[in-house]
Amino acid sequence: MHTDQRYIEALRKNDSVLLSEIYRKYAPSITAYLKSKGADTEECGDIFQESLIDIFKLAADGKFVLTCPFEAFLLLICKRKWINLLKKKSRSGVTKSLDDGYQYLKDNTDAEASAHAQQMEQEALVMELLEQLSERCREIIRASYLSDSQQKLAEQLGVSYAYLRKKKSICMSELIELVNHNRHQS
Amino acid sequence: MNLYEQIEAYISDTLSPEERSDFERRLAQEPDVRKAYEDWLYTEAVVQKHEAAAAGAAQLRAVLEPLTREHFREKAAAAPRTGRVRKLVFAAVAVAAVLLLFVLTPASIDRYPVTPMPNVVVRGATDHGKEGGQLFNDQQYQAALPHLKAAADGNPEDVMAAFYYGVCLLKTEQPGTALPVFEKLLQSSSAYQEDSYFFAALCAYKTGHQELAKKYATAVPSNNLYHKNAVRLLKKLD
Repeated sequence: MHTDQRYIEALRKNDSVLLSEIYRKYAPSITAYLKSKGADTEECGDIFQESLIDIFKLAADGKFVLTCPFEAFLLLICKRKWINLLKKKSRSGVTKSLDDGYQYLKDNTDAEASAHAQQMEQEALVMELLEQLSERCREIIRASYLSDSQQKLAEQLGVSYAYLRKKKSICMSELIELVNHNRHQS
Repeated sequence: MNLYEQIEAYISDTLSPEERSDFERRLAQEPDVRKAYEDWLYTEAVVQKHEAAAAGAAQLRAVLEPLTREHFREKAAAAPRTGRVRKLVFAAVAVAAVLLLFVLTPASIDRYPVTPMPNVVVRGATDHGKEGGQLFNDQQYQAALPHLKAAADGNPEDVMAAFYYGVCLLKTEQPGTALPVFEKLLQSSSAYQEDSYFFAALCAYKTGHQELAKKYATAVPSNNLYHKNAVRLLKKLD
């Protein structure tokens, strides 16, 4: 575990002192980097904030262990978000490689940060593909993980317990197949 | 039952003992069954985690938004230029004079950034930490000093109060008293540990402990806010 795990815990616990410190320490350098790649101030702020929220989601269950400096991980997430934004906007004029100018090059930090980012992207893919299922499937899958009792949930949804379980297995198989298909494509 | 119905039944513990042992045998022997089961567990864990995190993410966003506005706002646009050329020339000369004074001043090591003490903007704040913090942020260092001292002495775990108390001592020309405050912060793994290396170095320099100042200044990490100041200090020490 890296000593910067404290920033992960700060995100999980809304620790405003450490959250301020994250902004104070990392916002200037990441902003300078993103601006050098064509982002404006507002885009830098959005990317920075949404990257922190993504890290929070990744670590929300308390099991995530940071093995590299927080800055390296945050920078990589911001870089990837900017690449995605550029793709969406099909923005031209960015001629420099996105890896020019600002990298965290201590030991095998990049590899560790990439592994964390990959985990984050795989989880994001699952949640993105969940949105492609039918409304009923989404409702059943989501509710089944938030409800204490599957039988109570069946009552709430106005279906039998047997139907709920059968439908859930169908919806889960659809989601799993979608995830596997997309993983193979990428 | 198809494979996914079996997995669902196995997880929700609704298989008969025979069906259960048959499924466990397949799990052990058939890689496709094993993979489908592991895919189910992974997908379930991800959805569960992200669904549970949704409320927390909304709360976190509410905390982050003011920070984002503070750190990513555009600088106010420059006012339109008006007035005579003579006024502009006078202003330029004045600015140049100030800059020259700034560059030539021997106390350049005292030009370090001071971040405002967080969490002090609370109406009717009565505790020493917040009151001291408000005074500190208003640059009323002498007035802030007793409050921050009381906050730091009252709770040795309050590293934020200790840090700002130390800075306050430095701002009121008491580096000898500030040095042990920062040295204590160096021993902890708090958020202020890295910054404290610079301030300890500055205190050591101001109290004539050159070797100690060098040691602390060298320890300021390159990605720290005060790294440039530490480098400036090291140049003075060489």
